Amino acid sequence: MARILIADDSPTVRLLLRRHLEADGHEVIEAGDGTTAYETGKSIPIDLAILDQLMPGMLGLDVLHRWRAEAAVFPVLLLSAVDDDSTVVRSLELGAFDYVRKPFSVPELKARVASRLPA
Amino acid sequence: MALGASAATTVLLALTLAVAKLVHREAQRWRGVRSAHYVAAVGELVSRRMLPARPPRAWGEDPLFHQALADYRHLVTGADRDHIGRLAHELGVFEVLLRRVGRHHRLGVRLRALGSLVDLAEERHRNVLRDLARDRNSHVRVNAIRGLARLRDLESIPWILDHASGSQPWEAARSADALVEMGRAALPGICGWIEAQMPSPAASIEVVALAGRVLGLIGDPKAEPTLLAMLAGSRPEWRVAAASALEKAGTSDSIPALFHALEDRAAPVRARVAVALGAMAEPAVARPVSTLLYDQSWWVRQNAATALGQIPGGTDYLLAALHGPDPYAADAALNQLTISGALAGAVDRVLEGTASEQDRRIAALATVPA
Repeated sequence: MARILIADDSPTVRLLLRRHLEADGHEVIEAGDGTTAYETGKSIPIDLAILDQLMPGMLGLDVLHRWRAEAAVFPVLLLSAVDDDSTVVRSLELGAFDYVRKPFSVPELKARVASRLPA
Repeated sequence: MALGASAATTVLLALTLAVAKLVHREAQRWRGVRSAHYVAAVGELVSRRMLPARPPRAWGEDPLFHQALADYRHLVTGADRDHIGRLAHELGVFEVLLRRVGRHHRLGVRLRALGSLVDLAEERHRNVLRDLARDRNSHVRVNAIRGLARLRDLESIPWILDHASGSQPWEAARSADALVEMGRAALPGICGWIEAQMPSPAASIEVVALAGRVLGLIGDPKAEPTLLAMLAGSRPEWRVAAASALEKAGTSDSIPALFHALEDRAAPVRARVAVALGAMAEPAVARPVSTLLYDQSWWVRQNAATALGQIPGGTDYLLAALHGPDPYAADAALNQLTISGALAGAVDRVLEGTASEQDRRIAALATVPA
């Protein structure tokens, strides 16, 4: 069982992901904006984070940048409707292990998450 | 007595306002609660692939439930998305929406239902949307066209663009932009329409330009031949739209035509061509673009300077303009070097002792306070 942070300003996205991840036995923490996501990742041990890019407070890439600058090593997946290649490249350069565009296939997303969690 | 009546009226109005605010706030809170319940329910049903055994009739009638379905549909693909369609069928959502888009309903009801129908529509709703795209209300038409675009109704493309030609500018723009959602599949239809319109004296100048803009937003190089034809077109609006679109949809094959357009008689065209060439960032375009630093139009000079900032080797032309006899070219070059941070960066490197020869030439432009 892993502790997964879901950071997205859409309650629908958070609820959708929560239901699927909890069904797989994971513990889910939610953050509705970038600042809360950043603070949560800094203060609570988490095993994986799913970050939206466009959030109030702080963009997903900024959150990721600050986490990595502070030596946070947990895997991060960017989940975003932003479709330009430069954002994808930047997120991978900053250390995200994957970038999934919205709309997404839930089974595929779950498989990508599972591949990065400890067995 | 008059004062008393006035005070009483004021108090009454204030009380009425306070009550109205309370009622509105409560109604909003209840909407939020219902919406959250629907989102949770849909999430549960989708994640477990369930259909409710005894679906509450009220769900199918509630716009908030329709919105919850649409929100989920926007998020997911594949089997989850298919299941949302099944839920909509099972709960009678489509029957409700099709009923509410009818003309005898108030416009607000129609638009809300149409918005949900557009988000949830399936192939079998195509003809309904085509009918609604011909509605007498412009907002209904625009939303219906969005639905046709979402369904990738390629056959509608010529009709949509013809219809846009006779519409108000805002409707024409929204209708044309809706076609972007069709993606690459729309290219033959849009390109064919543009090529048929351009020779016609009755062509809508604005809508041909809008269609060119759509080709740029789609960004597929297959549109390049049509865009090059627009770049050589008779209207400056078309040439501006084409230059703008080639920034995303153009390849190196466009460069000769863009070079030629650097001498266009219309300043907006020259300005836009400079931007497009800058985006291509090929070293070979630096010298031709640099000629626009000496253009009579301020916008053209500024765009040329910005483009040179993006092109490898372009900074050399900016420096040459800085030290040249034309004060307007020098101004554009200095502006670009300042805005881009090249000036500040060069000064920093000089202070650090890591400056190149070019850095020293740029830093010499900076005025250092005593």
